[in-house]
Amino acid sequence: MPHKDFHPSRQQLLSYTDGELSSRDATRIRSHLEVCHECRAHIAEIEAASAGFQQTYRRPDPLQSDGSGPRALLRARLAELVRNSGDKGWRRLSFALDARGLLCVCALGILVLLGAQLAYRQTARHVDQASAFAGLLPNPNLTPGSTRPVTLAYICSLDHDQVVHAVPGPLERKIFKEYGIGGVPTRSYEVDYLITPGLGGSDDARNLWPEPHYNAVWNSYVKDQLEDRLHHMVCGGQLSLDQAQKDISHNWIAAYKKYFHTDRPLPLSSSSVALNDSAMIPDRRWIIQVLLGA
Amino acid sequence: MSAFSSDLTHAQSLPVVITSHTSASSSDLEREVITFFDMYRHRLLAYIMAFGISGHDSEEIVQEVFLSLFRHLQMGKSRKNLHSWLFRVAHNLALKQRYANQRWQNRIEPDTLLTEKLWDPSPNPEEQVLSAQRQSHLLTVVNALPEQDQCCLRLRAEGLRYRQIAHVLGISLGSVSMSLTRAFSRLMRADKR
Repeated sequence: MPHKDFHPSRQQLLSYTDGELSSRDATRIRSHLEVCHECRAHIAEIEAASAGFQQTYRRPDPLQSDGSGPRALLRARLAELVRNSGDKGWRRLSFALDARGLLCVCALGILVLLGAQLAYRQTARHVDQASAFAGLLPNPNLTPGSTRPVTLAYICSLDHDQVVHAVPGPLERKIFKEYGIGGVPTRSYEVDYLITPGLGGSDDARNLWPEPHYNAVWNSYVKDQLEDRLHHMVCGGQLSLDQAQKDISHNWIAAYKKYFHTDRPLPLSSSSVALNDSAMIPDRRWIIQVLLGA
Repeated sequence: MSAFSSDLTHAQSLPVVITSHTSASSSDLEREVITFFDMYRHRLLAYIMAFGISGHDSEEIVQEVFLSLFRHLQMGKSRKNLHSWLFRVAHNLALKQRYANQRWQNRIEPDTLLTEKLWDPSPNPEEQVLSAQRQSHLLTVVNALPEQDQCCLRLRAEGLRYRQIAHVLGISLGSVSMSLTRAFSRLMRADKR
């Protein structure tokens, strides 16, 4: 039963509009809004003020430059940074080339040569296997996906850091090894959950796989966006948890296209705005419907 | 299907990247940093210039932010929440630059940068004038807010959650909520006039 006598504070209404309340508090306020015109009007004022500020803030590039010059400058500086790191290493090495240093370096060199031959054989196998698993989708035999028993209330109480969070280091190494990248991990991959914990995914190895990080169109950052979107849709009642788990585990790329209505990943900024406007705060659309008497 | 039960509220955040120091990984990192640059340059510039810092200095700060990002990734540090990490670094560098500018009295008033570039998609000239006036009035109200409130408002406009805003500014979650409530109260009063 909605409580008309309970009036949330302005701070609570703003937090509710921004999707920052727990699901229990949000439900309580939503029930109150059904019967309180005053609070609904205040929400509308918040929306209008937010839109007004957004329009003011989102102005065109104040320097009216396409960024090509600054980008080229950054590239040059990064290249210099890398060279300086290498030069410093060489200078440190040169100081060590006295008699004792030379002896140590020679002994080290012999050990390195002996080990390199063994490592080369291992690396060739790993690189071959790594290329086989450079795929954007996991190997279904190794990563079918797995979940743990959770309640909707629990996962909806999680904040963003808990919905999308890192895999522990030892487990990462195990996954790389299973996929044949063990021993030669690269920065090009991120071990990621197939079904994110924010949607009830487990920490089991069957739910993890090495995902291309940045050098593919469909990378881990794009999947993070999908996980955030699905989490908000599930907590907003727009999608069942079972369906979300099924869609993301079956083919997360197809799921992204379905829920973002696009054939290619959206730029991070625009997808974030889209999230704010539609899925992050599904209650906002409900509120608009209530205000319009829909 | 379920094989493991964990208490996520106590989960520790651990680095995602496994450290490697090969030359091949440096070029991978360079490409990654450039990708982030293309995604975030415009937004970071808008945020930094709102501190009253000139365009030239703001570009330099953006360069520093991404050089820091390169070093951060090169050291194998966490990739979690790089979105808020970038704004945090930009925020701290902007404060440092503004302090230096104030010492050398080389500050540009933010209004002179913003009012010239206000843009409205409406094709109606009269509506454009009214819209520009409204935006100019809103800007005046925003610039009169306490700095913390302004920063919270801008970071919220950049899509950061309250927890991320708290991380960028080094304040509590409650302070973020109160700052935004204050800011919105003023914006709503301004809108009514």
